[in-house]
Amino acid sequence: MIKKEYRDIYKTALVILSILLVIPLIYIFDRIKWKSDTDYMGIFIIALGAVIFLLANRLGVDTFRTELEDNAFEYLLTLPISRSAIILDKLLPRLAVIIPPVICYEIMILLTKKIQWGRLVISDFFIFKPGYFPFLVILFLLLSFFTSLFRKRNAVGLLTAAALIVFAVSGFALKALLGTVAAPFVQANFTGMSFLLALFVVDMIIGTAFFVVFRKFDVKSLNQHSEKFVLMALGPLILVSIAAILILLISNNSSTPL
Amino acid sequence: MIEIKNLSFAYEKTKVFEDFNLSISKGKVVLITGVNGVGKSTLLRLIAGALIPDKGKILFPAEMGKDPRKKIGFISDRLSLYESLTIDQAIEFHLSFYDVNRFDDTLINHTKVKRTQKIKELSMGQRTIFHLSLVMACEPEILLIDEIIHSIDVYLREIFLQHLINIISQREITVVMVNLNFTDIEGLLERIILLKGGNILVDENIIGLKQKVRKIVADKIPAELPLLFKNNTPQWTEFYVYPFREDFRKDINGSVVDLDLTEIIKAFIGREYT
Amino acid sequence: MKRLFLTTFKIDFMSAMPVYEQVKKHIKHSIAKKILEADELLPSQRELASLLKINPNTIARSYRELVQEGIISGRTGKGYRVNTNSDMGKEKKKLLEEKFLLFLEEAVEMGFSAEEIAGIIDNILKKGENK
Repeated sequence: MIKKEYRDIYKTALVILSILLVIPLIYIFDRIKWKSDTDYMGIFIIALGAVIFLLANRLGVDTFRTELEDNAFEYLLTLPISRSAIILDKLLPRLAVIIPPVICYEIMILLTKKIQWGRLVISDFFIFKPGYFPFLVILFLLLSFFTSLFRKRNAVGLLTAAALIVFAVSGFALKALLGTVAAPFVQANFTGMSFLLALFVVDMIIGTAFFVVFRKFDVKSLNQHSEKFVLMALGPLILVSIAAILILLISNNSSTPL
Repeated sequence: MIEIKNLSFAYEKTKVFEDFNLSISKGKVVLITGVNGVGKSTLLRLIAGALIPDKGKILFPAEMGKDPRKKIGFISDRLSLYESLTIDQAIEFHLSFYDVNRFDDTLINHTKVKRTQKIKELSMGQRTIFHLSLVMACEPEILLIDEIIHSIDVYLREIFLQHLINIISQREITVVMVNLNFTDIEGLLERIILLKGGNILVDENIIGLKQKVRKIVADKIPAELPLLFKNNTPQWTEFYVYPFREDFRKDINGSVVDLDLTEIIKAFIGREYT
Repeated sequence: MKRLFLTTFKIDFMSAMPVYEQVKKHIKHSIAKKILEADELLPSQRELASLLKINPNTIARSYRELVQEGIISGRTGKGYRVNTNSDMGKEKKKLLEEKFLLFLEEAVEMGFSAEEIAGIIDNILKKGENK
């Protein structure tokens, strides 16, 4: 099964390979030609980070693409392989393939240290911080994977990509906006770690919904399973959001103003 | 060989089976039939493991191992396969899940396919024969065939059935066929199961069934005779009687006609429609 | 002779007579009519199942019962042969009686009386003897 999975993702793997080849060239080019003097490196790293996220999204969302396009789902489910083994055999190659570009990215960030684009200090943006980036990419891949079965793949892909961008950008904007108003509050609540944890919790909730529904999954009754998935994920997500808002409100009241 | 106990299953809020029970012995060739949508294909898919019961169990003997699907061959009318794979790739992929590494291509050679062709390029007939070969290569103890026999041309059908006869004579394979059409396969069947509304309406040995269902062509028949179905033609009336007994003959003023399986099932289904 | 045995072999699915009985009947008739001769090798069970498009287990039952009845002998894998001393006398009589009953049924349906039928039979037999 794993062999076929690698075969399925080879196109994405080629894109990744070309990135891996291009990165050192750009780095050397930057060192020699631009003498690390310009903002081009900064732009490139932002683009690279975004591309890696998009690749993770594509890999996750297309996990069952051949089964859905080739009408092979029923065939797969009659093969003597447990449903959990199917998930494992599909996830492992995809995770394996996303690791090399992530590592490359980490190396780039560490080598170039401060990335600036005009007045924007990119390297302060937590998504691009070395420690967080790998986990965010993996969690994002998993998120894309968990939603891969339940609606038209492209719509879900865009949805999850958009959700992540909104999630990240709003966090950044919020931090900038509130930074001037309630510094200790922001300091305490809007660190990169909290975003990471939030994404982890979201992944766990949606992942659990996915596993429960996948156990009985069948392509013919997709609507039934989609409904169940959405309900199972939505409920806990709403509860967690309410809890988070309450916690923020309480901590806001109890923190001493500037 | 196959024990279905208290099976309950619903599809998109429609209950298909509720507390359904069925037992199939080893080595038998069984037909499951009924009107469209009654759940025949669903039942086969539940046995094959493509669907999971909501309640109840489907049990197989211990010799079939931890995952009985290793010894079950399923050929469905959907002919689900990875269409972008070539025949060679599909064979390699399929065999990797079972403990076999030999593929007998005598069957597919009949259909003139090249091993480098992609599955999606094959015709329906070629694909059906390929699917059968694939499934047979894994030496299943149970073969589940879902309504494909009459979707292929008569020549390939003959090849398919001859291959089936060969397998049955070589070893004790249990065959469960879902079909709406009985021509060409009637000679192979041993047990007939007719489903209705998620339950078993008829479950008889084919020998017994043929003796118990007869057609009487007459103006009228004695009222006590158990009438299954009545068919009025312009020339006469046909009374289908079930269960028929030989001692009915003396009270009948008409001719008693033996029936083939198509006529028998037609009578049962006709009763459901009227 | 085996070719004639095989080409005249047809299963009637419209009949309520079980297939295994039909197989037995055809084999016995063929032996009675000398289409199959003593000690002749019968087709294998698989061959016959293939030809007639019926379940090999049905053929197995027919062969098994014929062995029990002393008509044929042999074993799966080793082949089955017509017994040399099989008492076809009874079978031949049964076969003839069956054919005769059919004839009688027709005659009765056409309205002939018993005497008329006997007269017709007498005539035919006399003509046959002359030949």
